[in-house]
Amino acid sequence: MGINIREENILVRMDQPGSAHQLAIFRILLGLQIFYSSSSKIFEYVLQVPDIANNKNIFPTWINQCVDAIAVPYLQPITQILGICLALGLFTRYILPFLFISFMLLFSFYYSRHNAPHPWLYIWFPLLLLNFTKSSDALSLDKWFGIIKSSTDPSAKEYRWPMEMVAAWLAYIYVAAGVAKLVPIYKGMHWLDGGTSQDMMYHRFLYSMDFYIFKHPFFDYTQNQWIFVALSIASLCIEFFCVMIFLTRRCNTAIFIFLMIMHFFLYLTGVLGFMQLALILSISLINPEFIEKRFKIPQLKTARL
Amino acid sequence: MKWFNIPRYVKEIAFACVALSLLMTILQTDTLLDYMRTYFLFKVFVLVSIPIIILWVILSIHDYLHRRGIFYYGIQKFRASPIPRAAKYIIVIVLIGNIMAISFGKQWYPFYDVGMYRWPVDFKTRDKINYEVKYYYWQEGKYKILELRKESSFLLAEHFGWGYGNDIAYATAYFHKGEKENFDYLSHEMKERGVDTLWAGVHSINFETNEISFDPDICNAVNINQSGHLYYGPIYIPTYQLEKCDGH
Repeated sequence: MGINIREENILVRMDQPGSAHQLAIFRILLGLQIFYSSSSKIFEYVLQVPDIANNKNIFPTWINQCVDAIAVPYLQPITQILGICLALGLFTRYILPFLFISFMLLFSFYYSRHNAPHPWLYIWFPLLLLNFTKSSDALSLDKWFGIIKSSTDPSAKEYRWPMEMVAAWLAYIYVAAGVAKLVPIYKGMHWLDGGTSQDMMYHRFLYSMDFYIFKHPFFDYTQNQWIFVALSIASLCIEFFCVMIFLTRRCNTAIFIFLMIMHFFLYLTGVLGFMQLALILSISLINPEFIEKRFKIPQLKTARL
Repeated sequence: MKWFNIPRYVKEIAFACVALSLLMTILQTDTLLDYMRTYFLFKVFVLVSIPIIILWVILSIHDYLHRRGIFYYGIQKFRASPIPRAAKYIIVIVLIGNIMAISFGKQWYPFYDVGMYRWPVDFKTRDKINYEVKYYYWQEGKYKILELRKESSFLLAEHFGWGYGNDIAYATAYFHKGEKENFDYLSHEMKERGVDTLWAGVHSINFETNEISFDPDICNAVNINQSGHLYYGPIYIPTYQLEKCDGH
């Protein structure tokens, strides 16, 4: 079965029917994730442990100075509250611009002091996109209270493009991670020799879930170089495989499974938890027709009763 | 498969990948001129790369002006898509920002090259035993290790719970472990939970025998901590531990 890229690519798919419920589920999960992320004690912590990572951002100096003063007392609670509003779908259209601004500034404060792209990288662009969508047309208090008038067709095209853009964002994250490992070309081959994976697994074992759960390493991490070479190649293959998201939907299940395996393995070996964020973005990999069918069946049953 | 049987878009994508990887290699080499002066092969690489990159740019522009090729197709399809106009402009800005970040291998928050673990590490340590100096405390006559990364797990956490996620676990266990302020933060948190004093001890794993042990000897922890072979450097050891150890 050949893939017809002209008919199946992401730009063509944006014109196809979407799912109001898929977009709503994504909105709810993103809102909950934002609440969870902004509730982290890391913000108070970085105030006490003032190690400046000196990461650059696009904001002018005066904004950064303002953010330093308001991040913990104001931006953190505002982001938490607006995150909950997003999950509930309450005044969604009105709160989204404010949530986006507060989220970006809060995590700018975090990133300037702590050199980790977690979790803002996965969230910021999908959150920005939601500003232009009708994400509260289903499963929201806005709809429940009649604050908004939703589209009559839950499979309208307007629900499709945001999900496809989120899928594109997921693909960008992993493909760019693969590119970063191989470029500049002169260090790309060196990366594949497995030293990075071996160093990480060796040194992080005593702080890894593998140790906490299984109490012993999978094998001798000081030897078996070929396993680390294989792991490095496998991670690159998985990352580059995500490029298929742009070309067709047919590989989405395989992409999802591979990403989850990769993240679970990384979780076991002591790398930061990106799995939860990847899971949220993976909502976009589900066929919208599949989700709409799940929501139509109970409605039909109710109508028959 | 003959070259002329390969679909045009595949050839275009392949050529773009080659040209872009050459371009990114040049852009990401901070000391380009020094490299060119020092390494003859690198000089050859740059001299070969530049015509290839220029050829790719010329062919891409030529194809676009003749209304063909993947760039023309992509731009036209994107313009015709049902995305609201304002969102289209924003998507283009984000796309350009991220392409710049990826090309230069740099970050300007929120544009990011996703370059975690991008630089290769030589695994030189062949020592079968790996040491990690960790904080611990005494409870009912037994030592208990403060497992900082375990605390970020919802199911395994013993002390910190809500708000103590992966980000702060990583910061306390690795990134800031050598700083006094990190110790003060942990010490304060543990005091609130009824633990008065934190000590540093040595956790070790022997990869040959799979034997894992913890040594609560405070002086051994000081010695191992000074050995200079610890991941993310030495941990901060409180003054009272150093003084007690000196007194022995």
